[in-house]
Amino acid sequence: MSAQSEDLMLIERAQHGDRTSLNELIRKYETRAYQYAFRLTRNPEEAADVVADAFVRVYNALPNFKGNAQFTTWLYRILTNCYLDHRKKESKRQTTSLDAAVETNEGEMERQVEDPHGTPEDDLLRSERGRQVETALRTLPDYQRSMILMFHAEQMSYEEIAESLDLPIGTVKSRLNRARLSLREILSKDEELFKV
Amino acid sequence: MNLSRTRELFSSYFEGELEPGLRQQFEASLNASPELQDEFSEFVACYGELGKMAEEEIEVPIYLSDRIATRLEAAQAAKPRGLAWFLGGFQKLALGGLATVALFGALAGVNISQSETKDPFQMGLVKVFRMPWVPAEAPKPANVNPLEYVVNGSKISLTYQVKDRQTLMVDGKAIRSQADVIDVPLNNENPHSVEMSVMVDGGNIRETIVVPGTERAELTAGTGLVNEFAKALADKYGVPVRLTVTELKSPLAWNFTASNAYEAAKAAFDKTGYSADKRENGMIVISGN
Repeated sequence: MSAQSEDLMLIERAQHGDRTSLNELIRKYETRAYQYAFRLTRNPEEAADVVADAFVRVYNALPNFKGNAQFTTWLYRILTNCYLDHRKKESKRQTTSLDAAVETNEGEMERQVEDPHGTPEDDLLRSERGRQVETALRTLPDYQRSMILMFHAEQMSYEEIAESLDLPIGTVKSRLNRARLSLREILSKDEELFKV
Repeated sequence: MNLSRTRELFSSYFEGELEPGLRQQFEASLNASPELQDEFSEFVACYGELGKMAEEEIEVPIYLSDRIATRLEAAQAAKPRGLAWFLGGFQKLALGGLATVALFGALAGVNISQSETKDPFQMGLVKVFRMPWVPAEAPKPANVNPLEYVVNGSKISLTYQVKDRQTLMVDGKAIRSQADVIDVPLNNENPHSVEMSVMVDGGNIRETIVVPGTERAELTAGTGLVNEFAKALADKYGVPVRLTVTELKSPLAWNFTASNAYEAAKAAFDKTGYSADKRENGMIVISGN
């Protein structure tokens, strides 16, 4: 049985009230969903939140899922929307100056900020090029970044991305090309990257 | 074709999706501008770097299943009673995840300590969280190309050893199969040779195959980029050519006076940085840079 047929079978059973099938579907895709969410956020906490919210949306919308699209492309669409919603919420939150001191029982203390990108030891584990690409990716608009990640990291085809984002395939291709041109421009400023 | 239009076509050209007419215009524009050639080389390098993102190892936090289950229960509780069709079922999801963690925890501990001895730069890995329920894979042999070509007279086919869930793209079209090995015939019914792009792993493995056409060319001399040289070679000698070069460099000049394609390629590549190799199946492999 193909993965797609298996998903459809699980979805049909879940739609008829079989909670084991839904659990199986979630367990089958939670790792892949997390990996995509982490690539978008580069923050494990936020990525876990995005994935959990996405599966809530799957649960709520499952009775209406007709099977016209692959479950995976539908899931990527939901994950992307959840991520964008998280970003909107984050930008609406009141900001506090990182330079402002924190009041404690022992007086004022300098604020300690957790680096979501991991410890210096973690950083050392990344290749310099990979880090440059990651930094450059963060400068792209969210929709371009999600497309780049879908194609290059998640290895989805143009058709699958178009289906996930509900966009014409030509739009996906042209936006991806623009995103790659932008990345090239950013990365070309560091000549080392392109040395063979 | 102006520079801006040429840039718009970088991806399509790189992925081998341009129609022959447009491709010629693109190549002419590229040939005319060394600056654009540099940009395209950087673009190709950038594309390759992006493909490496798929190799990044992202480990899932052990609390993920529990968090999903908690959120689902909250969502289920918020629904009207008649719609609460999964009451109590999500705890099993979280417990199932934890049980799996317990089952594989010790095994993963061993694998993690092993993975720490590997060179992370060489492996291109990022460690974010330990993922206890997925045993580390055995190190993959480096530089193994999963693509092979079978040449039988004028028939050429590509054999791809599927690994992980990496997608094979031939001429910009994704080819998926549940099989472990995919065979793709590379047919060319045109009189002249055609280029077909072959890509795996989001561009991490990328090459171009030039499939000869049904007719042989009379022309023996010419100039152009290495891909044009490959097409001329295929047209003249009727052999398939595999291009594994990483960038298009300055134009080459050639004059096909040799009796076979291999000798002709060797003569043309003298002091150019490219090299030619002849495979047992008759295919010429051009590499360099």
